[in-house]
Amino acid sequence: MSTYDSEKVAKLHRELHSHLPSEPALRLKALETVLVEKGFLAADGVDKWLEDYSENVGPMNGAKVIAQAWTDPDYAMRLEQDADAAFVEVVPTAPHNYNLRAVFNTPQVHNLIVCTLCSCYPLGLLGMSPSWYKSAEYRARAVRDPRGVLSEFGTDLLDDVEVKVWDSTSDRRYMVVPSRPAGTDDWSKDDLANLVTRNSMIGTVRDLSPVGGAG
Amino acid sequence: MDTVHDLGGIQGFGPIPNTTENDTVMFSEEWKARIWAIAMMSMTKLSTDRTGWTLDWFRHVIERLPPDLYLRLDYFDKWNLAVMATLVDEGVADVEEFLAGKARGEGFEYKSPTPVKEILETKPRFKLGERVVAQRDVSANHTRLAGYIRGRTGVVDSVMGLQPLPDLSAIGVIRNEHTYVVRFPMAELWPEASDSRDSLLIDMWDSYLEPV
Repeated sequence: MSTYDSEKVAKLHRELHSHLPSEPALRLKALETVLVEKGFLAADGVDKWLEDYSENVGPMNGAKVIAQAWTDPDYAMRLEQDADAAFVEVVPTAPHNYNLRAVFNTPQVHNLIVCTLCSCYPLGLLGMSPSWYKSAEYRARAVRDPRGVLSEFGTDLLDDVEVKVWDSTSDRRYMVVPSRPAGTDDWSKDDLANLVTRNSMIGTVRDLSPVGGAG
Repeated sequence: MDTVHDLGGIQGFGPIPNTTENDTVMFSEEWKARIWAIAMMSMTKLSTDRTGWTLDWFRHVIERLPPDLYLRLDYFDKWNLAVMATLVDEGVADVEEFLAGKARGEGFEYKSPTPVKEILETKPRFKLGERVVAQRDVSANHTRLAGYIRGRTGVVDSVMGLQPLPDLSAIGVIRNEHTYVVRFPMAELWPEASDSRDSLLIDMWDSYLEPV
């Protein structure tokens, strides 16, 4: 059972860290070996889980949803009102009650997502977050110096654009819907989806204008 | 509980690392992916087996890493320690087994109390557009009330659904509360932002707020 004993786990951390090998890969090996030998995990459990995750989860899920929203105003409205249901419309394998909220960039508003208290991210939809998203630097600075952070990603905003920083402290997850870049009117949904980057769905990148042409 | 995990607004950090990381990189090394998978599978199993484990309790386990390690260790290495500590706490394995990298025998046992479930029936205390103040103090338990907004005044930007209060969920009690997105002008939060029109929006539970 969970003891909910805060001091007990603090002590366990110190004990484990002091005596385990310092190499993280060896620590992982110890964890996995013990759990498989105990029968807590199946021998091929980790490989199977990772195979399933890489097949069904990743930034392309979000990119497809955004391309759909760019080409279908009714869909964009559904995405704004009920992001879980709208996500499943485009990605049928996505979880149904993920508690996702989509926030939309406009010419006047730029959205930026952070989780200052840990690193909450829509992992079950968009895959693992970028390493910078989990960094202490980003978690500390995004809420206090968002424009400084954005400029480190090459995103320099005009003063008349309002920045909205969303600190994801609850079990609701956020995804930014960037603006559709100009000059893409005749693009297919697949080509549009290829423009959408992982960083743009967090909000560190705003401009998705294509460098070359479609395809 | 105020520990170093509450990083929002802390000054002195340098540039954001790895800003140009490739989109296709989910895990830069194999061991990271495997720890991630083990953590996810362990969480699912503990939930399914109804050991009393909650995600809020797990978050608190990570927060209880010694502060220097919390800031210094790789994200996935922290998860490794937290999963080990959790599974020792649940009785699945003991410290000696993890240190030896070998189980003493097959099989494990844990006791299975189910979290108490209390449903809050009341309506949300706050409505859209209402001015609210974030609670000033927190207990020694887990909380999701970030330090930098405590005592500050904001406006209810949206009224969202029910979620278990993390402060109680982390000790095995499920009390569903209304949640809100509360908007704080940056100018209200930081002295250097006095001319800013930017805003900070943050998820809050009903009991974290008071009317102005």
